[in-house]
This record gives sequence, C-alpha cells and structure tokens, in this order.
Amino acid sequence: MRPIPKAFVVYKYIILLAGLAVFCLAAAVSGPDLRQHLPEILIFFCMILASELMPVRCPGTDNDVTMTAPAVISLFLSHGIYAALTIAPISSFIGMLIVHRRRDLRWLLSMSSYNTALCMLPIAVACWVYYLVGGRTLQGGEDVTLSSMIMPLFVSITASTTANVLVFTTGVALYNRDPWRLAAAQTVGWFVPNYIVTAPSGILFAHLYKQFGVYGVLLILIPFIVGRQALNIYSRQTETYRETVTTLGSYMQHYHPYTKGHLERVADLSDKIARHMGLPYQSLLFIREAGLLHDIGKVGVNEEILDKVGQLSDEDWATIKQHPARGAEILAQMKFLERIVPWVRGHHERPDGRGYPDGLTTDEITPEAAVIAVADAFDAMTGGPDESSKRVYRTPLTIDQGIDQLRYGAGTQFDTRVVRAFMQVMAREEVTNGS
Amino acid sequence: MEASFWFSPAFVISAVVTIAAGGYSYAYLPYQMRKAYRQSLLTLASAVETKDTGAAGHGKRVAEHVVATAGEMRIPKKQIQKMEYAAFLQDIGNVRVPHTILNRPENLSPEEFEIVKTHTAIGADMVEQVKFLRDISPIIRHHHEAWDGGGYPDGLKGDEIPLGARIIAVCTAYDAMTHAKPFRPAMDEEDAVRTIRAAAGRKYAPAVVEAFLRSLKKRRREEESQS
Repeated sequence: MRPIPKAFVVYKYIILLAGLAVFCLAAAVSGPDLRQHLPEILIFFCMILASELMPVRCPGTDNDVTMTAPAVISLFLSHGIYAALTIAPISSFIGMLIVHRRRDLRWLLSMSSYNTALCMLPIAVACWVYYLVGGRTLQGGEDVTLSSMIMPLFVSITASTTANVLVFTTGVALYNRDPWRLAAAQTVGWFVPNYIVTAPSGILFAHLYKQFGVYGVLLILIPFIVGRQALNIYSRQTETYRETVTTLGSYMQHYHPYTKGHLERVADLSDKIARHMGLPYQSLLFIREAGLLHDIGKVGVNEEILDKVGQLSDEDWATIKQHPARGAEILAQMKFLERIVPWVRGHHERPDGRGYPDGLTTDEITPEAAVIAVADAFDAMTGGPDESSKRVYRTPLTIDQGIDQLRYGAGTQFDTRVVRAFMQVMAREEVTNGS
Repeated sequence: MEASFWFSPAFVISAVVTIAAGGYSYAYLPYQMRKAYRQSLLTLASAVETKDTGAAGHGKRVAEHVVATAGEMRIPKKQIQKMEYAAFLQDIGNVRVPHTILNRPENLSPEEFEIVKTHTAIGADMVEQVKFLRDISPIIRHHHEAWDGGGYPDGLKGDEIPLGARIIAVCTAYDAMTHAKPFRPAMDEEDAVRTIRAAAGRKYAPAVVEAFLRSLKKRRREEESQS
C-alpha cells in the first residue's frame, strides 16, 4: 500500500480540530432541553443513522451518496441548530463505525472521526447561514409558513454545498495526490445532485412533521427507502453488466498468451496518461475499459494474419484495417459502453490524417482515442517488462527507444499533447520507481 | 389517524412515488437489464462465430431450441435463462482454436481434433472468470459429453452431465446437421430428426430428445397455423 501523504495527515488534523470546536461550541450554547422531545429526537437519530447505513451508489460512478443531508436539514428545521450539530455528528459517527466495522480499529476511529468532522463543517455553515439570512425554525412553537423557509434554505444549502465541495475536494486531492481540478470534478458530481435533489425533501419533511408528527416521517422515509432500492438495483445491474462485458470481452482477445498482459498494460497506461492530461471525469471512468477492449474487433480474425512475420499482402492489410471499425460495431451493441465506441474506432487514426479507418486529423480524433493509440503503440514496441509477453515476430525495443519512437512520431503519427503527457508520466514513474 | 391524512396531497404523492420507484426497480429495470445483458452476450458470441465459416447465428438458433426444449421439460425460468446464456457462449472457446483448423474443408486429423476439443474447457475457463456467469461454466464445459460416456472433455455419463449441457448437446447437433458446413451440405430436417432419435440413449439423453422433438413439432404446428 502507498503511504498516506503528509499533507493529507496535516489536513486531517485541521479538520478534526475544527469539527471538535464546532461540536463544543454547539454543546456549550445552551439550547432548548432536548429531553422534552426525546422520542422525536430518537426518530431523527435513527433516520440519520439509517441514511448512513444505506449509502447509494451513483450510477456510472464509483461514488456513494447518502440520504443524510435531508435528514439533518429536517432535524435542524424542526429542532434547531443545537440539535442538528449534536445529534447529527453522533449518529453519523456511529453509522460510520458500523459500515466499516471490519476494518482495523485504528483506521476505523481515525477515518470515522475525520469524516464526521468533515460533515459537521458544512452543517454548521448551513445552519448559521440560514439564521443569517433571516430564516426561522419550527421549534419555537410560532407559526412559520413553508414559503418563508424556502428562500433562506436555498441560500444556506447553496452555501453549505460550496463548503462541502471545498473541504471534501481538498481532502480527496491531497489523499490521492490528484490535481485539485480533477478532485473537484469528482466531488461536484457527488454533492451537487445529492443536495439539489434531497434538500427540498428536508423542507417537505419538516412541514409534514409539523402537520402529522411521526406519520409524516414515514411519508418521506418509505419512498426514500424504495427509491434507494431502485438506485441500488440500477447501479448493481450496471456494474454486473459492465464487468461481464469487459471481462469476457478481454478474455476473448487472448488468442495469444501475450495479449492479456498487453491489454492490461495498455489499460493502465491509458488511465495514467488520461489522468495526467486532466480528461473529463466521465472519461476517466471508462478509459481502462476502453484500453481492455480496444482490440475486440480482432476477435474472429485469422490469427495467422495478425501474427504474420514479414510483409503483409494487400488483402491481409485490408482485413487488419477493419478491426477498429469492427470493434466499434461490437461495442455499439453494448448498453452503457456507448461512450467508448468512438475511442475504439479511432485508436488507429493519426494526426496527419494517414490513419484508418476514417483518416481523421488532429482535431477530429477524440483525445481518448489518441491516448489509447499512444499507449497501444508504446506497449506494442516495448513488449512489456517480462519475457512471456514479448511478441514473437521481433525483438522489443527498450523503454528509452520506445519513448524516442513516440517523440519522433509526435505530430504525424501521434498526438503531440498525448506524447508530452506520456513522457511526463514516464518521468514521474521513473522517479517513484527509482526512489 | 384522521381522514384528512389519507386524503392529504402529501400522502398521495408519497404513495405514488413509492409505487413508481418500486415498479421501476422490481419490474421494469430487471426486464430492461436482462434484455441488454442478453444482447451483449449474443454480440460477443457472434464476434467469435465469425471465425468459423458457417457458424454465424449458430449460438442464437441453438439458444432458441434450448429455451423451447427446457420449457417443454418444465424447468424453472431462472435455470432456462442460464441455459440460454450457455447456449450463446457454448463455442466461445473457439477464440483459441487456430483459424485453419476451424475452417479445414476436409476431415480433421486426430491431433487436430484434439485441438478442437479444447474449446469446451477453454470456454468454460473464460466464463469462470466472470463472476455473474460462473454457474454456467459447467454447462459449457460439458456440452460435448455423450449420454453413454463417449463424449469429451471428461467422458461423463448419464446424469453426471449437467442438465443444461444435455439439452444443448441435442439442440446443437440438430442445428449443425440442418445447416451447411464448408465440407458438407445441410441435412434435411426430417433426416436430422431421424438421426437424433436413433442416437437417443447412446449420444443423447432420451428424456431430452423426447422433449426436444415435442417442442419442435409444436413450434412447426404453430408456424403452419400462422402462415
């Protein structure tokens, strides 16, 4: 395992201290006596706990989303800031302990308290901003209309989402050593739908709670649970689907022992280059799969042609040149993989327009296709590090020779930006491997 | 609870959302996903079929026979589904059988036939790697076993052969006989039926042969009544 970056550890302690400060502050401010409302508080406690225990996998991503936000908002609206800032972190902490109970204790405690502290800051921001812009909560017994809550709530949710994205992104960026922009794309995709969709249910919840009491809770809770189930089934099936297609599809290309290693290395290298270039987050989710499946159009082609030593006849060339288009045709049949169809189709295009099948030029080639082209060419030339994966028909180049070839072909055969990113990735690898 | 609760917009909306989400996740989604999953397996299988001249569409046709036969035998739907997937993917191991051997116009030498035989085990190994297809691996491995133990790769006998494999064996034979190969013409449907019936109890499971022939007859009758 990689060591945890020092910067992240420092950040973690800052967050922990801030969270602790907020907690103490909230506890010190004499709030209303919560013991009077113990049953309701308990219900909220269970709701937040349940939302922590039932995370939802966002379709097509590797992010989990929880329904904690609306639960906390409604707790705040119905019982005030004091309740929100004490009950929410406790149930969220316990929830975190239960979810990750199998991990080792030190990790568990440190990660759970970090995440709890991380969640508290945006909640505090939300509550304070809400009061700041003149919002009122329901616990006073006075009559607060729903419409008077909407504007302040909108402002406070916007503020807390921003705060959430900021603190989380910084944490993710430091932890993964990713550029901030990339981490931000990830967290924005994570939080924005969460807040936009679930925050209104916070208002609705508070309103229903006021009107119907406990039954109001169920009116929101039951659709929540069923809706979560729907999302979970969807993401599980999408995963099943993608895993099946990718695994089976890549095994189908192993007509040769060397292909397996080749495909995996192309996938890894493409992933690294794409990350370094800062390609869109959605592309990064699929680039490995595209690397594994890029030659699927070769399935069913006579392997004697693919392995031929020496000059190929025109007819053989014509057969080989069909494989990107054929691969694209195959993948076009697959749901959820539509995105990678043009990447696979374009992985033998060249910036100078002399590639196949469409003879595209620089700007017409999708960046993902250009990335796969470079990774594929480099690995085909250097043949991978181990003996078994070397190609039969010629001696592989050394890593440096391979890099030279790419640099030589930059602008004509390979995309200049991709080659530059590739060389930077290789330089970085060398540093980490060397040290 | 007061009547106003049950008629409140909140309750109605909540109920509608619950029913909609439930219907979506338990009825519509599985249906859509099954369709997509099936389509993707079929596409992968047909990519392999292009390697073998005359095999195009073989998996799909065999799967139709398999589903009909298994239905005739009153096998649970879930299992039929698995058998259908296995029928699609039965010859996926051909990716590692050299092109020249698959497309040899004349009969194969014993050594070459040994290589052809490996496609069952290779296909089973490939499918084994996919978590969600693991349980069809034995069907693929044994779809060339014979009822009397004379098949390959393991020479299993009778009930030792997985049911799905027994069914695929019959259906695959029928489809291969009724379609032309580079080295032989297609057989007449009646002749194919006769050949299969004659081999029941020797090559094929008798109960499966019976169900297959019944389902074939039924389907033909339906076709006639439609035209």
